[in-house]
Amino acid sequence: MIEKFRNTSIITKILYILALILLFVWAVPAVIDYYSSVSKYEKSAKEIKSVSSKYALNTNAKPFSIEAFKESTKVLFSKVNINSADNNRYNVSIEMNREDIKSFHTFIETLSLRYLVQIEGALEFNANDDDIEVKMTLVEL
Amino acid sequence: MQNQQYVTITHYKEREFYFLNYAIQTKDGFITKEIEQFHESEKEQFIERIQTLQAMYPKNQIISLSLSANQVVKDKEDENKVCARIFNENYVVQDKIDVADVPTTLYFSPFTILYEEYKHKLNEKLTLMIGLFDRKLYIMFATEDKIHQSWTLGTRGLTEKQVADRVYKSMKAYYKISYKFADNIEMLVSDESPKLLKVLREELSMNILPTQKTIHNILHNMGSEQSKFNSSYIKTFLSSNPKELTSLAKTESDVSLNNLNDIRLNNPEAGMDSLENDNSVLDKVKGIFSPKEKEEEKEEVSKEMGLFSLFPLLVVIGVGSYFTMENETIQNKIAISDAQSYAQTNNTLLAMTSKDIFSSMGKSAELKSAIISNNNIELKGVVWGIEPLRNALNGLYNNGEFVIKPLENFMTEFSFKSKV
Repeated sequence: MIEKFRNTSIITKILYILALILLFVWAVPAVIDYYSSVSKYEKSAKEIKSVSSKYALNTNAKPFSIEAFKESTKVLFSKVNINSADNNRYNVSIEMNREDIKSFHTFIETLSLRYLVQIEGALEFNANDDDIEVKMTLVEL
Repeated sequence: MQNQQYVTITHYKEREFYFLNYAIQTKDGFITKEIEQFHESEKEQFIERIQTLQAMYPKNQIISLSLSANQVVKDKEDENKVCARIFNENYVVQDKIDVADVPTTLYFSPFTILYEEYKHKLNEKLTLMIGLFDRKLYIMFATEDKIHQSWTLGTRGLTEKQVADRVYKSMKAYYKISYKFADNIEMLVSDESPKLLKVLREELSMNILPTQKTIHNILHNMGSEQSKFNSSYIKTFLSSNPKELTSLAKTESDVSLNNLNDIRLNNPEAGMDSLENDNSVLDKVKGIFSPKEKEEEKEEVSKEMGLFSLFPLLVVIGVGSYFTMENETIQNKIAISDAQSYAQTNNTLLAMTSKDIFSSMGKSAELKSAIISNNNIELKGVVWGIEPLRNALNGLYNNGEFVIKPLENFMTEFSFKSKV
């Protein structure tokens, strides 16, 4: 085999050497990186799943959609308005009875476990005798 | 007429002695003369004696035996080594041949001699041919169409039992690679060794009838006919001078064209054969100096290797690309997962802050408006129990700014600002 290799052309030798260099400089590190990333992802996914299980949520977070969000919040609160803004942002207004404030807190705690969104900035509360209105901005992840 | 006789001069070296002999080739066989022996310190006399014989018999072949242990039978010729064709597609190959400065026109391998001796006995059954020359065993497994395997075994310092054991192990080794056992064993011995023969018979449980011949007689026989030696001598071209080749070819040609009536080469059939063989020798000589075929062979090997060399490169590129793309996908997933974790923490902190503020109101106050973030809070509302509210809020945010303002309707408004 070595004798055969010696008798081969310079191009063949270059191809073999190139294959070896690519193997050790690119392919092997790519394989190692991939398995390292898989391990990191699995760890992260496990942590999120563990938090979800505390709230009895068994499904993974879905990409955000206005319709699905409205559908799931209208049963919890008196009134929900949502408008799309720039840069994957949504202005949300929720009205509720004062007694439902606990549900609102739980809703906020689990929001990122249900949808791939984050509350940006502050929550703005305005209240009268019986009702509370909350305004917030959601940004898609 | 004496100088018209065709003579074969044979010599070989065993330990520190040169052995020299010559024979007059006749139609009925060769007539050998007395064997002469020279110590290696008398090399000059030995060479002079050969030259004298050459002068006496211009029609001659000087024949010797290559007793190198590194020779082996292969399927292909090796351009980098010295080779001799045995038959069909089998060649004896050895790294080099030491021609030294002793005149020699033909070298033979023991393997060639073995084949020449027993070729008429070969058939489809596997035959083990053993040659014992200068305390070395030359072993060949052959059938009528091919030599399958060959080995050289040294016997120096070994007992006959150990030698027989080595032969048996060679048979076992061959059985392992081919699942065939030799059906027949032929043995050509140049040294008288009845004890070895007896032990071999016992050890291998086979009937072996040895052929006892001296090396000189074997070599005289090899040199007796051009058709016999033309294709089977070891070509020493790698180490010899091309002029010698030309003279060798010329000598052979002279022999065939100017045969004497009393030499075997003179019969008409052999004459035709010799002409054909001459052509083949010349073709081979031309082939050696014209590298076309070898280059073609090299090109083929190169092409084959070139195509083959693309395969590992493609595999590496394929594997690298696949894992790079998969890694990018998983990195995106990790980024989303990290963002989700961060969002979850952010939202939970907001919820906790909000919960704390609503709890701190208790029955002392009612919140009218609030801006709650994870950096700061701003609260406004109506308060009934100022101190409990102040204490509760200061308990949560001790650097906050708590302000109260009486209203016209006898109520009191509060505002609170703080960093979280």
